[in-house]
Amino acid sequence: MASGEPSTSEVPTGAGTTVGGKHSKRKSDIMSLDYCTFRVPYNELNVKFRNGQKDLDRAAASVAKAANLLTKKTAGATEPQAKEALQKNFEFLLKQVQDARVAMQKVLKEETGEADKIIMRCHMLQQEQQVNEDRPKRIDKALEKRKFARHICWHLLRCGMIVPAKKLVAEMKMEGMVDISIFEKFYEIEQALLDKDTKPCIEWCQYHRHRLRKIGSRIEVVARQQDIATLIEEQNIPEALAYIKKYFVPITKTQFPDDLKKIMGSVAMPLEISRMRNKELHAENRYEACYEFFIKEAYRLYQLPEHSAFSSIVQMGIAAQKTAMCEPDTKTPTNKQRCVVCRPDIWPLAEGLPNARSDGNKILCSLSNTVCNDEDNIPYLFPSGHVVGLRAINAGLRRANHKVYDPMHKQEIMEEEALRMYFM
Amino acid sequence: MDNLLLPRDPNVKDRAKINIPEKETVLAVRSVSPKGSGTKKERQVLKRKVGVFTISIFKYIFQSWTEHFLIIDSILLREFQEILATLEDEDDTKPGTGFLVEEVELEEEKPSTEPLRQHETFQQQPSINDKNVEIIKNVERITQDFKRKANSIDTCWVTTLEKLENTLTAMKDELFNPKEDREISVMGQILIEETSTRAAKLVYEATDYHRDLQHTILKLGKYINTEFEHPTKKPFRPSPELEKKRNRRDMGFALIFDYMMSTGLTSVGDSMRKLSIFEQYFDTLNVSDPEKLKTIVEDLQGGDISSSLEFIKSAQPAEEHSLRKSLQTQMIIECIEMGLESYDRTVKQLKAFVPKEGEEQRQSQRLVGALVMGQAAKEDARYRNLFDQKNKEKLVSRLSAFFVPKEAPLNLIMKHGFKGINQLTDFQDSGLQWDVWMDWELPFDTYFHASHSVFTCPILKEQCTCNNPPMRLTCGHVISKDAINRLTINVRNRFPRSRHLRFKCPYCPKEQNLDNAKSVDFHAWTIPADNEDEEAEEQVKFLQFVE
Repeated sequence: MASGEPSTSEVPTGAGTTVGGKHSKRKSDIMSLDYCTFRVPYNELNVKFRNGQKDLDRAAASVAKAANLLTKKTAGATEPQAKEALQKNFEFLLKQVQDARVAMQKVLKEETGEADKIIMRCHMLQQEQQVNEDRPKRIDKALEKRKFARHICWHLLRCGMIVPAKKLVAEMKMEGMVDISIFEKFYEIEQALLDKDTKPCIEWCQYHRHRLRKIGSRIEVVARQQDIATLIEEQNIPEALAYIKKYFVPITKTQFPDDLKKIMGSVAMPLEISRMRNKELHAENRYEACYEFFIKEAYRLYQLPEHSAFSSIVQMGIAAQKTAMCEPDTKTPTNKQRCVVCRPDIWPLAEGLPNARSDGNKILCSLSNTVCNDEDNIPYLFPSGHVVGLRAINAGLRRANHKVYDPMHKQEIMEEEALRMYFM
Repeated sequence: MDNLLLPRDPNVKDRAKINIPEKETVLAVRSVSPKGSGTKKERQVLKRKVGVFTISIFKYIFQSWTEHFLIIDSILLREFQEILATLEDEDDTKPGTGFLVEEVELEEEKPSTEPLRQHETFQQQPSINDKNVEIIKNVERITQDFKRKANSIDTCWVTTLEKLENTLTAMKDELFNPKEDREISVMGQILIEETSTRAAKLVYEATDYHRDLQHTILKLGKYINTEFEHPTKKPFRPSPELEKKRNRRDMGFALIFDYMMSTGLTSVGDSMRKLSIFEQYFDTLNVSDPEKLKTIVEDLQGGDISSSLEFIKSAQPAEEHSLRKSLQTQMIIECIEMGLESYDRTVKQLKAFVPKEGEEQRQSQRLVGALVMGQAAKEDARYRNLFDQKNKEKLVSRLSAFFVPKEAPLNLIMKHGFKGINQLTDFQDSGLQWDVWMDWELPFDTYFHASHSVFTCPILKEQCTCNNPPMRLTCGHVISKDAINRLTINVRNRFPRSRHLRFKCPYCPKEQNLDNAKSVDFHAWTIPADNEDEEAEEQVKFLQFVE
């Protein structure tokens, strides 16, 4: 097992099911496509609330402490006291009250900022979802384009294409609709980890400490393991031990004792033996593995789905157009192809997807590509096996003496040879 | 039995999909009423027998019946319509408030005497969009509630703390003023004690009030988790996920790039291309000349039409004249917007705008009128539409059309994707399941462009494929090859060496010989590259474009 992987079996977050899954109880699957749109700001709001509450508790404790100090000196006073004896404590109390007020303002501002973000998203999504017959078509189109752009943007962000995603947001005026900042942070941490710097990752872990503990994440342990492994590699054992004592023991002692034992074993044994026994701890690509694990845990923390909504939409979109007759068409130039699925650049994505379902038959003329029917475009079977509509025959294939030109075999055939077909 | 629904075909696969219990039986509704009928015991027995459906499931099943079964009794259809009309007002959340459904033995199949009834007269359930709007409104309501509480803490407690701070500052100035006495009196000490106690208490209370916000936050989280439950599994298998595997991710990027370039979002496409990680896919893209398109779009957005005019001059499209006029109009409007500084340029452009008779002349007059009025024309009802920003966007998309012959495939894919997921949701809302892991066909009818022929064998109810091609019988009826194999299986078992297998057409009494059935090829026919018959080639080309 690589050091970047969780030691316990992966537990899916929540009771989520797939779009079109077996156990779906939600009212609307289509809303699950916009899960990130609300889940991420909610998570931010939650984190801000918790961290803010901690700050406020700390501020309240400081005010109480300052008040207590002052009260001790003034309690049961029967005689006047020198100013100097009280002034310092009084100023300390004033400062603590000021700090508490500033902290309260800051926390509330941050929280209402996140709430505003959610409300703004609600308004924008409502616009998209509401069906209004009187609305001009161009507005409908613009809303649809914005919806597409939003999902594309999430996908680009997940794939690490931060700059194009930012440009897309700016072009489509979608500021506030997509959480670019969290993905920027992911990217920053990725770059740092690839540069063998775990500091941003550890800072992120500390910011989200509460939630990470709740979901039982090992990411901080894994990140700190890299630092310890580096110290062991450098044979700086005293420093490694100090690091373990200060940072590693508090986070592993109760939750991850196996990791603690393992790292202590590595410290105790000679480097060569440690390399042999704990290959993953000394592996060259351990920082890459750490980043992969970080991304996994970060998605788990924000409860981002394993696959982007864009993937689901593309799959469904291709499946909805795929017919049993579809196959990669390398002969026709892509910009002249009628069927999207048959394009050679799209066919690999269509393979393995279910076909679209059509309750009615749609028979197309092999020459003119028009839909055949039993009235004015009756389907005929030509000797080559192709279906030709009556309109195409009348338009240019009829010849004298009750003959019809067969372009497939390049010869004239008798009218009787073109066989009428009945599709039930 | 008069009120009986008969399946078109006992092996029809759809039966499994609409949860009809048995193959050999078919459900019929005998005494259906929203409140139930018969004795309590009878109802209990029937409930045990077939279970109780929620009203929405009943509606769905009935609608599916009308699609998949022949209703041979028009009275029954009317009864159903009445029942459904009464069910519209019923509470759907409670299972079993409804009706009794009895399982009855299937009687001998009767030939259909009436065409299939459609259910267009039924009232529609609330659409997915309505439900979604409701969900979003609820999220907004909870968030607004949170915001209101946070604001009330802000106005109430922050103000209180500010007042406390002012009191403390005033006390400090009063009691610890260096000019005053060097000692603090007993009264002063009592005041300090009281104020400090109050300060500690107030800050604690403010913190407690803030803590109460947790309930609203948790409520919001719970609601989002319930209603926006995220998909943790792959929707299809094998999943063409577009993130982890390098080649698939690049295919996705290529699609996005194509979409960006064809919708005027060239800066995004450009920044994607700079990353150069999907270069190999550029050859297959729709956009014929992205650089030129980018220049034209950027110039147009910057108010420069020279590159566009140059392109029109070189390409000479059929709509050259109208495009030229649109570009000139846009240029003149932008000059007017810039004001007097560009007056000379505006007049020059106006002179270049040589109008023809009719609409163009009127347009020319309007442009002159707008020029006379200057920037004030923006506010004038007669000229306001000339200054609409959408005109420029339209122009960009018209010019983009030369580089992107058809709309980007991603646009079409996403449109169908959203529709499909909507339909799937509707399908699931009815309590029905679709095994996405196993099925080879979507469980609902999807609208798609008729790019290929689609033929479902009327016997097997399966779409014909290259492996199971459609066959024309001598009578003209078309069925699938597999269907013929099944029809002849008994004969083949009895006479394995027989060369002339005979069977009857399922639609007419005409006897068929297997050898006379002809395979039908649905593929479009294109002229081979080595075709020498020019006249025929011209004719077929003409046919292919005549429609």
